[in-house]
Amino acid sequence: MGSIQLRASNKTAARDPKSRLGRKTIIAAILAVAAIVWLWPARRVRGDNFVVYLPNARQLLPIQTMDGVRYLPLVKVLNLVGTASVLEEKRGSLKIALGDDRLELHDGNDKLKLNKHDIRLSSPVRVENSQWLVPLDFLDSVLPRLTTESVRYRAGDERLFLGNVNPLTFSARLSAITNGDRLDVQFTSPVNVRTASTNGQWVIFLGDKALMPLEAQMKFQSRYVSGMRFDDQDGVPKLIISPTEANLNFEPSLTDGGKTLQMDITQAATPPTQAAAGAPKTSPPNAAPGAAPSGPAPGGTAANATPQGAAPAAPAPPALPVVVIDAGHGGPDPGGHSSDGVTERDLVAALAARAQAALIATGKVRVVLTRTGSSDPTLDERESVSNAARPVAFLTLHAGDLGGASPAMAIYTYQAPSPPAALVAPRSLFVPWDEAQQAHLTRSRDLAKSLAQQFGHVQNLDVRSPAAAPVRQLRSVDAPAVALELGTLAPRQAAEGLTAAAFEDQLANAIAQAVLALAQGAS
Amino acid sequence: MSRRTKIMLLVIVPVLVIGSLYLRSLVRWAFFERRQPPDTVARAQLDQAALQASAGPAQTVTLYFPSYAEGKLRGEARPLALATDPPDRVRQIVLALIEGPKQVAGSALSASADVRGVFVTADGTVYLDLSSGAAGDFNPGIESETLAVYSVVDSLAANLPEVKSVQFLVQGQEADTLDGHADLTAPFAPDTSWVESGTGSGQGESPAAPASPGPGLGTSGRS
Repeated sequence: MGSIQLRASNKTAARDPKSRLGRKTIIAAILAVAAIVWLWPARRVRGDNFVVYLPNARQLLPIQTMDGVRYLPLVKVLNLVGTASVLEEKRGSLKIALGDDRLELHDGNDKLKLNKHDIRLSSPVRVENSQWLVPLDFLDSVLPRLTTESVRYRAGDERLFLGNVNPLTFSARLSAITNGDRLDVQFTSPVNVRTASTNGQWVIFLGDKALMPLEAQMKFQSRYVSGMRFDDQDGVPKLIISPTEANLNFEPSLTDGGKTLQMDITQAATPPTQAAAGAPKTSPPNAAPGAAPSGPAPGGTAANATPQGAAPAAPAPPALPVVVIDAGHGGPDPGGHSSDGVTERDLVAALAARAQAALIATGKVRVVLTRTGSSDPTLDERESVSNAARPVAFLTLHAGDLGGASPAMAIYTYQAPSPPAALVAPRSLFVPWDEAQQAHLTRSRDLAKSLAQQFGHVQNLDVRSPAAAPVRQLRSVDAPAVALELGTLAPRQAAEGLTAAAFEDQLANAIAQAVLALAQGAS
Repeated sequence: MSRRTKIMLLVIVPVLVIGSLYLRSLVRWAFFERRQPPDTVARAQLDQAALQASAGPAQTVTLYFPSYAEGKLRGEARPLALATDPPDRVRQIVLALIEGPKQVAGSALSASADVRGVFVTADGTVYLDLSSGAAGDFNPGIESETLAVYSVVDSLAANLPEVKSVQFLVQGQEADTLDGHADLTAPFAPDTSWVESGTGSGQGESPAAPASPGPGLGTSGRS
């Protein structure tokens, strides 16, 4: 009897329009939830590639960006330096063996254990679709401890150089020429290039050499070219140049034995006379791919002539000058330290970051840092980075014992231990590496004076008169260069006053003002 | 006392006595009589020889020590019986600098620093080979390293006229820097601008009287 009543009531409900509406609503809600669940990972995960440069190969690893943190698959990373085997995986923990090394990780935990030593990562380890993921700083905090091979990774980059790989780098300079701009890209070693035109941009393929750009992206205040960026996401290093408009002529050529790529970007003549010019040219950027892209043009000359009757174009403003900031020490080298655990490495890195922000905020200079994250380049590498960037100023930041005075600032220009012979010898085209700074000593002293003046405005800061000292870090810098030593950072004394954000901002602004004064004077 | 107990005592007591004697000798060997490495002994003997190789009565030499508060070097006069051999004289002065100041300022070199060897060329360049301890206990910094270097160079030049420049070596090798800052890649010429004005360059206050032998060629130590 009861079951008959139930069927009857069900039939009644099926016929009831209100009830039908309710069922549809429930189905729609379920579908919506399913769609959100299905789409959610796609929304928060973005796919990029991480390039690993090996001595004779390149390998791409997928980067997963989750909640703003970039992750790499752990096992693939470990397989770069050995054969990783999973020992045990249970309830959010993973134990891995790699040769004699033992690694233990926990899902959601930023601390991992390597051979019983704790190492803290910048972000927690994640497990996504059964795959263990580690943040990028795993590459410089853990990977070097798992291999005897050289591991070169600059924090923030999406490329790693593993083993005997010496990457090239390059600097770029934009200058005005008749009816256009000339973009010179100078490499540290000769390169082979191939050009192509696609999607309204010029692409310069840089052959099979490993490259580590100082600046992956450069913007120009130019009428003809708006920017240049380095890209190796597909494992093929290339420069992508963005013109400001269509129908510009693009004439690349390799000079200086393949070390300098010279690109002339000029206004197309009206009517076009490319055929008469004779020199091969690439097509305008919006031309069909493959229509005209050519190899480097052997130094086209006639193409740059200003067309008759056309008003000469206003000279393009030059690219922003570069300032190089070198934060002393880094990586395993902490430098000096205070009684409250502040290390020179971290103190000057923080100051370098603030100075970089202050300089960029002026909109008048670009900034290149010689080290970021936990890297520790050699002194020569730091100087190479600087010399490749052709800066208007170089600052190396240090902290040390200034006899207890705190806060205090000492400013140094370079003084060779002995008077260099090159000053007596006639000037040559080539400057000895050890004497590169000698030609800039006057400008370096100007920068030191300017810095002393600006630091004088920082409250309570004891500023010492600029002095000349045999600072090794300045010796081979081919630009006006000074060393700053912030004090006192010594084991007998606390350094809390040196780490205050407001104080560091004042120092950063003083640095920006002094450097800007020098850069404007140079221009 | 049972027979069994007596036998036990006869066995245990000698074992305890022998064991305690062995333990005592072990402690003595470990903490008091451990032999120093042969090179340390050799260097100590060289230092001793240099210090004892005095030519005559004590002279007043000027040693420059860092005054970190001023970022300068301050002179300290000290009686020292200098040897006749130039490398020994260099060694004496550097050892006195390592010993530290008695009146002024701070130490230039770490107390654990050691002179491994000295070589003086005919043109007056001193090759001074310091142990890694020279940089080991050092408070790194541009100023502290610069003062340390010129403390040695200016002290040698002020007291030994034959010294024209000093090339630093660390553990027998050319070093890029002392501890990350001071450029050690070239010989250092004396630079009195680091000496605090008023403390003199050695001639002013208490004339340092370097021994007469001119530029000499000689070696000391194992560099």
